[in-house]
Amino acid sequence: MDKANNNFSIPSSRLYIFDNVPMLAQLDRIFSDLKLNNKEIYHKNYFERRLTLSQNMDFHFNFMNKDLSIFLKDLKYEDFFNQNKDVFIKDLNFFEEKQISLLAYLHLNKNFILYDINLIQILRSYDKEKKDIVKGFLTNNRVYSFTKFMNVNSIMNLEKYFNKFIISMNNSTIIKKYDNADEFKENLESLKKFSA
Amino acid sequence: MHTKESFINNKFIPIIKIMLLLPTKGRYFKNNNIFFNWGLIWDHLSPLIIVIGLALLVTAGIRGRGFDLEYMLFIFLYWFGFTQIISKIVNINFNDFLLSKNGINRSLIIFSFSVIHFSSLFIRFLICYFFMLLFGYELQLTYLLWSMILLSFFGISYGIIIMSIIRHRSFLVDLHGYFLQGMFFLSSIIIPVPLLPEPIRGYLLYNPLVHLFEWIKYPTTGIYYSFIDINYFLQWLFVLLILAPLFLFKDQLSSNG
Repeated sequence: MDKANNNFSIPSSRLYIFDNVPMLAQLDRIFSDLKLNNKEIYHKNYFERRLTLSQNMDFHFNFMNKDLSIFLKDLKYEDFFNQNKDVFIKDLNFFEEKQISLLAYLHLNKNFILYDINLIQILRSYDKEKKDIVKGFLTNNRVYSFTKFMNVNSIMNLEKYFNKFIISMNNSTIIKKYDNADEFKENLESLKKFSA
Repeated sequence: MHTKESFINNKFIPIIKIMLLLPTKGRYFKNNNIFFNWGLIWDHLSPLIIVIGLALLVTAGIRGRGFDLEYMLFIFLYWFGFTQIISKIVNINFNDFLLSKNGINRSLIIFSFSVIHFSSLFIRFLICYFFMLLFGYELQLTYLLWSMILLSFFGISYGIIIMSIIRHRSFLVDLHGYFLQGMFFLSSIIIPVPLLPEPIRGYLLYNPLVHLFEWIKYPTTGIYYSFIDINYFLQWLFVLLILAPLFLFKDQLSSNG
C-alpha cells in the first residue's frame, strides 16, 4: 500500500459517527430523528454471499433504476465484472468484493449511511485511481456511520478522508464535534476512554 | 436513469427475483455461456413427487377406500402448498440484504413471498390439471381453482398471525409444526370426517379446513352433507384477512424497537 496515496484532503466532507446501535432494524427510528429520507444502508451484507456478483449488481442497479454498464465503464470495472460475474460473493476475494460494493453504493446513493463497517479498512485497500473516485463521491457529502459499539481503531486515520466529525456516543448522551482533522486526530486518545 | 421508474419494474420484480434465487443455494449448472439454475426448478416442482405418490396410493393403492383421484390429487397438492407456505412464513428470515434497501419493509417481503408461493402452487396445479385432462379425467375447474385461491389466502393470513406471535420462540415454532402435521389427519383429507361417528365428527367440524376439503369433493362424489358449510370456512377466512395486517403492523413496530 502506498502510504502517500492516503494523504489527500477533501474540501468539505462530514462524518457522523453513532455508536451503540446493536441491530440494523433500529436505524429506522434514528433516521426519523435525523430527518433522513433516503435510507439506503451500506452494511456487511450489501452484497448477498449466496448470490453471484452479477445477481447482486443487477438487483441494486435495477432497484435504483440505474444503468449498470455506465458504472462498469466509468469506474473501469468491465474486465473484473466479465471475469467474475458468475462467481458467488462468498468465493470472491474479501477486499475485491468490498471495493466494488462500496463504489456501487456510493454511485447509487446521495446520502451515505454505513452500518457496522470498518470504512478505513476498505478505503485503504483501493489503488490511487479508485481512491480519487471515492474522494469525488465524499466531497461535499455527509457520511453517517453507525456502529454496534465504538472501536477507536476503526476510526483512526479517517482524518485523511474527512474534515468535519460529529461523534454521538452512548445513545447521544455524549456528543463530540471536531471542526478539522487535526482536532479529531488529537482527541482520538480521549475517545478511547469512552469506548473502553 | 435508463428507463422510467415504476414500482413493479424497479422494486417488486427485483425483490421477487432475489427471493427466488436465494433459497437455491448455488445449485446450478455452468458451462461456457450456459448458466442454468436447476435448484430453482427443483425447489418449486419437487412437492409434486409426494403429492402424486400419495394421491395414487390412496385412490388406486393398498386399501382402496373409495377416494377419487379427481379431487385427492388436488387436495394433497393444496395441503402441502398450504403447510409449506405457513411454515416458510413462520420461519421467514428478514435478512439485512433486503431490509436495508430504501422502500423494502417486512410487509413487502411477505407479500412478495406470498406471490412466489402462490405462483409456484398455481404452476403445479396447471401441470396436474393438464395431465389429468390428458388421462381423460373430468375435473371441476371452478371448484378446484376457488379452493386453491381460498386456501392460499387462508394459509398466508394464518401464517402471518402465527409468525408475529411465535417467531424466535423455537419451542413454540416446533410445537406449531407438530400441530400442522396433526391437522393433516383432522382436516378430512385422509380420514373423511363425515364418516366418523358422533361426537368426534361434531368436534372436528369446528375445523374450518374440513368444510373446504369436503366442499372440493362434492361436485365429483355428488354426495352433499348438510353439516358441511363453506360459509363457515369463509367466515374464518374473513376474520384472518382482517387480523393478519394488524399483526403484521404490530410485528413491524416491535422490530423497530
